Amino acid sequence: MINSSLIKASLTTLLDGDPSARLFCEGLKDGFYQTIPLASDILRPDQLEELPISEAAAIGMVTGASMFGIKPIICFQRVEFGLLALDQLVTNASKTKYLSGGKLTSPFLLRMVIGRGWGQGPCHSQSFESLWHSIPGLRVFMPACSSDYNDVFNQIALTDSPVITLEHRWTHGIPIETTVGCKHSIPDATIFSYSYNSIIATRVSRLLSQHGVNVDVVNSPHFLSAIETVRDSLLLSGRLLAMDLGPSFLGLSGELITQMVEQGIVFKCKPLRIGTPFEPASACPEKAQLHFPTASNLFDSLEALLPHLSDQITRARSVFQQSCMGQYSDVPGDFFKGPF
Amino acid sequence: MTVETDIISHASWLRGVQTAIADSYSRQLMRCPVHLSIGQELLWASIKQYSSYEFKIFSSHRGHLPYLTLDGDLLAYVAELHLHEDGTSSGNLGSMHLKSPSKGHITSVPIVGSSIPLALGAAYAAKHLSESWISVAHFGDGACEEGILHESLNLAAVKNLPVLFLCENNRYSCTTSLTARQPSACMARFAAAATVQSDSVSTSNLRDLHSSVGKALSYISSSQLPFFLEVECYRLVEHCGPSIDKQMGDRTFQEFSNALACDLLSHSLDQASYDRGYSDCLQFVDYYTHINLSRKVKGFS
Repeated sequence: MINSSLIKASLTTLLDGDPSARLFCEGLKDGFYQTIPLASDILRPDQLEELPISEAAAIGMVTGASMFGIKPIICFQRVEFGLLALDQLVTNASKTKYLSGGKLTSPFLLRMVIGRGWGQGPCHSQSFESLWHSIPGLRVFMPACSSDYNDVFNQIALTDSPVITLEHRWTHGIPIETTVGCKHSIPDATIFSYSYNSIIATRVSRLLSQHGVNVDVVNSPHFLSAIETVRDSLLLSGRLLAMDLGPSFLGLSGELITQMVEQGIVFKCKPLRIGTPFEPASACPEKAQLHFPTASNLFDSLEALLPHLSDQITRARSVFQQSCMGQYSDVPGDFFKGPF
Repeated sequence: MTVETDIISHASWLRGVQTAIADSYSRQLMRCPVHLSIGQELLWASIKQYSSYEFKIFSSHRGHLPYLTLDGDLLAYVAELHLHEDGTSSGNLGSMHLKSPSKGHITSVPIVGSSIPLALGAAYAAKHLSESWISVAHFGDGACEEGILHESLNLAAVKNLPVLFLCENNRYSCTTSLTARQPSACMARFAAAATVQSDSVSTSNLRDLHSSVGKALSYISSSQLPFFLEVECYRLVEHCGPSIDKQMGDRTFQEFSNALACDLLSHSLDQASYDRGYSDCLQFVDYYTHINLSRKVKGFS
């Protein structure tokens, strides 16, 4: 079973368990990457609502509906389509509780998919996590693994605010048994990561530990919830590598490092960041490989952070490269088939 | 009293209240942008007569009249304009966010057109939770230039949502004339593009106005479909502030004079209701003037 099946099962349970829940999506019959139930999968097919290509009106509608008892889930095929609904999210959805003095709330789940690889190019591969995190009143999740996705569905049952998930397309095909994050009693370094970067970082960290290098990976599906864990690890390691999915410029990693400095963390060496360049992504696979963070970037940065362990890191890198031989870099693995 | 007398009475009260605000705004103690609707009162006085309907109204920055019509608590109204904790939103939001959710004025949103799809949501909830309220998206001709209106009309039509698109066409966006902004003066044409039933009516004929409002509400209630009602009117005051808008932006003095001469309420004013609105409002303004003079909001900036 893979994460897409888990998401679909969770949504099915949610819809069947609550008659006021509704799922809004353009292209219902396409199944939204096999992550939503079809009409035949649920008890009340009228809970599935097809949408016109009107992101702003749709977000406004679900905001208003959620004020009066409807529990909406709404899906956009790419994060970039959410930009068309930015006013509704900023002006209305995120402020419902504040503007009404607590009399009204607008709890709903907005799912947006981050593309990468297979020629997604500059307008289908952005995540804009800094943008979404900059809007008070929204709860933003960037899941990497099945437990992260489970957390999202637990959260939406508890919160009275809009929840946004930025779902990296490559996390959908990952087996639900896959776990992310690494913790050592005496870490040599700490990696802060989220979304698909946590998959990469965890693979690298596990390989490094076989070569005597202990790197903590703090997977952070919800940024604010991860701060304390990063701090605890850093107090032991003193060395930080922070990974952004989007550009490092004005990224979450910058905010994290600032908070660590403000909390008085003493770094043994200057913290490093990995993210995309502050420029559009190419659809060309060779150029895209240079644009998005990869395990190779991770090994480079860890060598800079841990020069006294460079021999061990080099050996681990060699093993990792051997395991990737013959694989295309614009897909996450053999399971992945085009067009998306 | 006839219905028309009641409408004139409430409209006069609304004008009295707003005029008191305009006259006292120069005290500089209502420290927020105030968008008055002097000249546009008759529509809301008509809507007040249909109180048998339960409304969920989502309006714009120019939301004083829906608030005063559905709620009418002058103390909370004046306090909010003075950004005092007694206000409709505890003095946190000011003139552009007047509301009374418990009385059906759900919100006022000062980003043009932004509140329109919220009304679709309330209509969706009514339809699917078997509620009987009528959801109203209240906006002006300026909002018809925003894409969100057209998305919302299409979505309401395709989802068969019982929502009233209530467009006050006062012919101005700030100080820019409709003729400089659109190729046609008819806003209802946008409804036709989305196959939404519509009507256009003017505040210059009270009987027609009240009839059109009633038909629109009745249509939505019985058909559970969207309806677009365009109300042609004229704002006699400036876009934002207390002054009579005689000659600002695209306006000419001649145009203003003609509009004033045609203003039905000026000719049929219920002086007693006007005076009551004016004096009641001014009483609260005086009260909060006194309070605000003692607030410690002065200092370095």
